[in-house]
Amino acid sequence: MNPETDRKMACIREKGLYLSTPTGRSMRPLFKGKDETVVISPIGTPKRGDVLLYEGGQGKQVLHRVIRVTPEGYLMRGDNCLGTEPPLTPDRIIGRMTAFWRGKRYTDCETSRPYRLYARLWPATYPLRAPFLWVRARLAALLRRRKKG
Amino acid sequence: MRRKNGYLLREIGGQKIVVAVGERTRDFTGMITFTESGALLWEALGEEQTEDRLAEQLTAVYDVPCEQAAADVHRFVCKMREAGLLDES
Repeated sequence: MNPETDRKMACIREKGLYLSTPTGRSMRPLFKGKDETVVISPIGTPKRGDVLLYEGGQGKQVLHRVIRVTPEGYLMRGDNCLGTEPPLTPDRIIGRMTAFWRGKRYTDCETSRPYRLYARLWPATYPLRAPFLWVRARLAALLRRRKKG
Repeated sequence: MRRKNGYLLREIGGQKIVVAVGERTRDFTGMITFTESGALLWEALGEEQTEDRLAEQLTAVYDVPCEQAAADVHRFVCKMREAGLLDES
């Protein structure tokens, strides 16, 4: 684990929570990289639909959703991502998102009906969204190649 | 001096915590927990302030001697400066 991960895990152990700011686009439409803050709590027992903060490749922290729980680990995918990641093992998990703010609006992931509906329905729409995500990924790769060349 | 933009004070579970948002996350990835008085000073730093004015605002709310308020403010300002949260241009 990198020192940043250790620091966050220590904070969760000592204070019971950690506040983090989502960046990037992988969790759109839920998080758009504006005035958003997530509450990361102790891991508990993650289930499908939960959003976890964990250490991804190269020590970077990732905030993505559990798509499926398997014996090998948790299959994770960002709400705006095409690919499902290799199984996530518990030793890499920093914590579980239990609430968030978007601007001043606070949402409790456990009790908010709109959020629970979103957490259930959005991943279920993946088969419909996947072709568009695939096209978008192909276009992005093409533009990158053209920029280089 | 005043606090830099791009930081939000969030309240949860009785704790008042400052986090960076947007572009500021490049400079600051941690979180700072405030006491009630710290949160008051943080809010006050939304406008241009001096340590004396901050101490006055503390004594207006809390029943503390002026010297203690001044010492508390100084300690607070030093911590904010160390964390890079103040704009002192």
